[in-house]
Parts: sequence; structure tokens; C-alpha cells
Amino acid sequence: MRHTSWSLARGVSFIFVFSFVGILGTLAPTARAATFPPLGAAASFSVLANTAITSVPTSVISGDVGLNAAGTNYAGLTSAEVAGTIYDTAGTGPDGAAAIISPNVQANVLTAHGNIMGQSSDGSIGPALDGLVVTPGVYDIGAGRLTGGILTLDGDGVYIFRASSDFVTSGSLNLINGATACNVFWDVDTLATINGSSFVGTIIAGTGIHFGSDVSLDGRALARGGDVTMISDTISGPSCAAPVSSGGNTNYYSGTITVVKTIVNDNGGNKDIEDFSLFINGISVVSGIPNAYVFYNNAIPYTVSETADPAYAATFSGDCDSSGRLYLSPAQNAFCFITNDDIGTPVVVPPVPPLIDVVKVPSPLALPDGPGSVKYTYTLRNVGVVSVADITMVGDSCEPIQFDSGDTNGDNMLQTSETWVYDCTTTLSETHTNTVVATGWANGLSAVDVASATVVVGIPDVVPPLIHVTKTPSSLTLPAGGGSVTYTETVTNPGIVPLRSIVLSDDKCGPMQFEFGDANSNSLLEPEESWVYSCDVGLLKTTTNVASVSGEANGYTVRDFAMATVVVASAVPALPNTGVIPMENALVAFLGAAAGAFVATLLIRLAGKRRNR
Amino acid sequence: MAVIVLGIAVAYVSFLIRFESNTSPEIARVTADADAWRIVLASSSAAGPADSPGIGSSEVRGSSSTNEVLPDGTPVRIKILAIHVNAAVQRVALAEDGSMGVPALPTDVAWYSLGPKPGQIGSAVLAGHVDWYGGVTGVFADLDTLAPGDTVVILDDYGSEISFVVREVRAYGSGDDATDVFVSTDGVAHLNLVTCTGIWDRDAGQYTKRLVVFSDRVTE
Repeated sequence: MRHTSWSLARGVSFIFVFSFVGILGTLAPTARAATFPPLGAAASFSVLANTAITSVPTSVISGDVGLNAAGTNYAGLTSAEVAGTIYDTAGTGPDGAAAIISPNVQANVLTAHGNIMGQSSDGSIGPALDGLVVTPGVYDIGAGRLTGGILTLDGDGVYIFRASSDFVTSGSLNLINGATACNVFWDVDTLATINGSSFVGTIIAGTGIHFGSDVSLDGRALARGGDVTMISDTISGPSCAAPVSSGGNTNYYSGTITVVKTIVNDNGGNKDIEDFSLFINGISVVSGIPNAYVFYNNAIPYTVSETADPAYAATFSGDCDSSGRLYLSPAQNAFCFITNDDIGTPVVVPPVPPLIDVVKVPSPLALPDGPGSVKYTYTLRNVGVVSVADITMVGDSCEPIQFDSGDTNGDNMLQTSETWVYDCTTTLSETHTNTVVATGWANGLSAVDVASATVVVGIPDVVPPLIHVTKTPSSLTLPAGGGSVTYTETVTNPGIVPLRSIVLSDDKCGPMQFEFGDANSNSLLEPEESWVYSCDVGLLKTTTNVASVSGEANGYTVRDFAMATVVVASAVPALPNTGVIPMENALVAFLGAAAGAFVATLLIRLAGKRRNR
Repeated sequence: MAVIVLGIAVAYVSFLIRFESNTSPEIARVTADADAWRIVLASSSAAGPADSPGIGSSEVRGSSSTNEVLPDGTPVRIKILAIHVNAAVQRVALAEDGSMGVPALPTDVAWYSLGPKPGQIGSAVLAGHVDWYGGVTGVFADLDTLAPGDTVVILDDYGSEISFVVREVRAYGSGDDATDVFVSTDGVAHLNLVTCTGIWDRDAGQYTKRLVVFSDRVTE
């Protein structure tokens, strides 16, 4: 099963921690078999409860909150405590504002639990965990207890702790040598009781999760059954960045963040991309243009924000979490997607959204002898059903991006039958990853796609890989009430080096199912292969989701994204007018009219006679 | 007396004019052939989800893990034995006032093509006239006599028959919110039939109520 794939709402940053390690070649060989359990739609949740959620004010919850019950079972919780979205079965929330929870969320937690229980054990430890040091793996901890002491997690990889009954902690965790919170899982058969000042990891518990006061959890509290109780706790993350060592990290790293905006005007709105001011850490940025950063402490998140418009709902995706935060890894080219969906007049007939796809290939892929000229070729296709207008191609570090060919009918619109080709030539003096953001419009909605390509300069015998993903939904529009959509996601290799460790995820759909395409069954994505995945999801409202794929070759991890919007109608028509005036009424009406005409004629005659006199 | 006769004659002519304005001759000509109907209307109706071609082809569907193959055909006939209905089904979208479109002839039934197809998950909606100009009876004149347990059969353009069984018959005000009629989220295929009922509202130019027959797909 090397075609590993999973859906992880904010899993991209997690993926990238792996890739960072991969680039540096420090991934310690390990016999441990723990693998990341698929959280699917549950990944965006900080708190998930089955029966009730109790909060003694004031708690701070950074992600989504889900309650698999009607909205009356909140005690003390207010929406002000929740930065994410509150979901429950009735859609009412603690104070009248919540979304309806998808059954997938609880199902995904059960799937993750099943996955965890199905993983082979690397040993039994505990139940007293104080003072232990463990490497990545699957550990059975019985009725685990951390009684004021410290459990040390040593090394990069997935940690799974399985408690066969309850679990109680008043201690803390120490993550060293690449261990990260987003790779830590606690599967508790019954009740998890979390005291102390801090705790780390995703907790999946059978009968409830009860926090003591002022606990800071870098992770998720997902109850398969029972309730979640909090007393002025902080639940955030789980962060995927390795904590900075106590000695202080003085190495400086660089990376870029590109903010990419998509607009969905499906309810009568008319705003454009330029109508929204975008910021990273409060500094103004432009959609589609990468922003370079130099940093030494990658535990500090960057925050992407925009000037909020009350007429638009904003959603963050890509490398950002749901509140727009992202942790930049060394050499990472991060993408933060912001989708703005207008809140306006409910529409009966959903507008058909555009869908585009861009591929970028540099030539040559490597300049082993040092600085030289590189020509990038961009191929833009319309993978939707409507013609796309107002195409823009925004790149960094190469100008101008020149249109070559493809608009066969010369109408400046990208038809589904057309393939537009652009190019740009530049001189590179050092290894560089360059991005392009393609944007187009149709029916008031924008479509966007990005492509990245790395050219290696001055290093002999190293050819960097390229990867590409295309996503198409089975239906671009759905009637009111929504319905099921199958996303078909095709991963290809536009380069010349076979890719390994292909990981495909989608922020709003899971699990991602590998269908076919590994023609020679060697688990490597060869340039001539197309790996096809599919994913089914039920959509209740207009949704823009982001697929991200990564692969590795020659010490490089490469990524690509694909976005697709499915518009769900927000209103139903009035009932049809299926009758005509009945015959008997019609007769009465016409007899009445005829009588009126008769009287009128008499009056006219009378008047005429008077005049004649 | 002559004036009354003249008035009736004018009334008859006005019936004819209204009839003509609702049914252009070319549309009336092709109604006998349900498929031809569909082609004519397809070019004029807004592209709904059911119309979107190309992406997500049936091959992809077939390779997914879905066990039950859902009908994908477009409805062409409706048969309701209990009220002796065997009628052609047309495709409609919206009328100018934002209400669901209606069939152009009293003998035909209209399928709301911006919603699910009959047999697909969700609520497919079909409408038929209760009456017509000149005292003609509409195809759904007897819809109010349907009772829970009665069977409604849809024939689609693949030749498949999809059966539904009546669950409930309910009256709505003409302006009532129709979400329950058009939307269902229980993961089951429903077929909802609509016609007019109540009394004629002369000011509004329509009947005061709508009769909705809710039915559920019969699965083996």
C-alpha cells in the first residue's frame, strides 16, 4: 500500500515537515511501523463530542467544534471561544450560529480509531509513563497514567499510544529531535482525563475527554462517544513544526508564502480579487505573488488575513489552517488559499463555475555547470464545461510571461477545446523554485490553479522532479439541498525523474481512493503514467476544495495543488402554476363582462339620442 | 341577446389566443415524440447539474466503490395506474416568475430538470395541469385521489422503469416555501408530483393551493 493517501484538512504542513527532513536526508531509519491514521473530515476539528460540550469560561479553541447532538447540549460554551466553525446536528450552536455537522466527521473518527486499532503494536509500556523516552511507534499503555512527570518523544515519525481502558495525565510531553504534535495520537478506550498545564497530540477517546483547568493542548480532542468538558483551556494545533531546541536555533532559513484568492459570486455578489486587501502578519501582499521570508524559529506561525467583507464568507485552505495561520518550513514555498463566497440572494439556478489547469515545465531542468538561461513553458487548459474569460498568469522571478498560442478562435476566452501555451525565459544563478498562478473567470466565479518548478543550478548529476495534479468534480453545480460529488484527481509527472512517496490529500474530501495508473506496479510515478484517484463527498453548500499532492525524487520533495468549486443552489423555486381559470368561473366572468358591455352600449345610444335632440 | 352571443364568441376567441401564446405550433407538433421534446427544450433551458456533460463520466462512477448503480436516465413517461395516467414527460426549468415551469400541454407532465432525475438520490419533482382552457381536463386532475401505497412508475430514456410508492399527499399554499418538495437529505430517491388544488383566485390568476404527492423509490 505505498499509494498512501489521506485526507487531512490541514495536513499539507504536516506533509512538508516530512519533506523538509527528506531534503536534508536526516530521516532516521526506523523499524517502527506506526502510520498516520486517516482523520478525513475530522482533521479540522479541535473538539468533537458525541453527547455534550461543557466549557467553564473562558476557553480558547482554534479549530472547529463539532457536537453530534442537537444544539441544546452546550453548557457554558459560547461561539466567541471558537475561532473555527461550530457544527451540530441541528445547526443551531450554543448561541444560534452553527453549521450542520456532516455524518462523515464522526465516521472519519471511527475510521481513524479502526485504523489505529489495526496497526501492529511495537510493544507495551506503562501504564506509568513518567520518565519514559520513546521513539516513533505504536505503544499499548493499558490504563495509561502520566502522573506529574514527563514523557519524552524522541525523533520524527508517528507516535500512537493505545489505552485499553481510561487514560489520566497530569504530566507533560517533551518533543525532541523532530517529534511534532501533529504526529502524536492517543487512542483511549474509555475516558481521557487531561490535567496539568500542557498536553500534546490528537486524543480519540471512547466515552469522553475531560480537561482540568488551564490546560494547553497542542492537538485535538475527538470523543467517539460521550462528552468533552473544558475549564478555561486552550486547544490549538496540532502544530506540525518541531519545537525549537532549548539551546536556541541560530540557523536562518528562507521560504516563501503565496496568498491566492478565489472569488465565488454565486449569490449575486460582484466583488473582484482586487476588492479584498490581503496581509501576511499585517503587511499588505498581492494575490498570486510569492513573498520571501527569512526566519530562524519555525515554531512561530505566519498569519494570513484580509480586510473582512461582511457580504462574503472567507475560507482558508492550502498550507494555512482554518484561521489563516501557517508554519513555514525551511525552503518551503507555501500556498495559502483564501476563498470568498458571497452571502447574498439565494439562487435557484446555480452559476456554472470555471475550472482551469496549469502545468509548468522548465527547460533545462538542471544547470549543472552553473548559472544559465532557463525557459519555462506554461500549458493552460480548461478542464471545466464553460468558457473562461479574463485569464491572468502571474509568475515570480520571470517576466514577461508571454502568450504563444492556443486561442484558436481568437476570442480571448479559454474554451474547453483549447490549450493555451505561454513561455518565459530568465537567467538563474542559483537553484530556484518558481511559481505561477493562473486565474480565470466565468459566470461571476474565479478559477485558479498554481504550478511550481525547481531548477537546480550548479550541482552535478541532480535532476529535480516535477509533479502535477488535476481535479474535476463529477458535477460543477448541484440543486438546492446539495448532493454527492465524486472528485477525480489525476496525478502526473511532467518531469523526467520517476517520483516516489506520492501523497495526495484533499482538504474537504476523504478518503482519497487510488483507482489505477501504476502501470508497471512499481509504486513509482513515471513520466508516462497518470495515477487516478477518486473521492466521494456529500456537499450541502457551495464548496471550494483544495487537493495537494507531493512526491519525492533525488532528494527533492515537490508539490502541486488543484482547486475546484462546486456551486450548490441556495433556494428552491415556487410551486408550479398548474391550473387555468375553471370553465364555470370563466362563464360567469364573461357573462358579467357581456352584461357590462350591453349596459355600456345602451348608455352610449342614450347619450347619442340626447345629442341628436 | 345578440350581444350575449357575441360576448361568448369573443370569449372563445380569447381562449384560442391564450392557448396559442402558451404553445407555439412547432412545440405542439413534436410533443407526440417525447425524445424530440427533450431536444427542443434542451436548447432553451438553463444548464442544470443534470445537463453538465463531460466531466466525471460514468466510467469513473463505475470504478468507485458505490454498490448500487443509480439510474442516470432522463424521464420520458410517467405511468400511474390508479388514476389512469400514462403521459409523456417534458423537461422544464423555471417560469418567468421564478416558479417551477409547467408543461405546455394539458396531457403532458413536466420534470424539473434543475433538480435530481427520478431515481437519483434526492427529490425529483414532476408537475402536471389539473385543468386547461375550454374545460379540458388536465393530466393530474385526479391526483388528489392517490393514496399512500399507490404506485407511480417512471420510464427513462434508457428504457428503464423506476417505481415509486406514494407515502403522503399534502396541500400547500400557492406561495408556501417548497423546500420540503424540492429538497430531501435522507439519502433516498423520492418522486414528488405537483398539481393545482384549492379554489380559483381571480386576483392572483391562479389556484390558491398546490397538491403534492410524495413518493419514495421502491428498492428490491
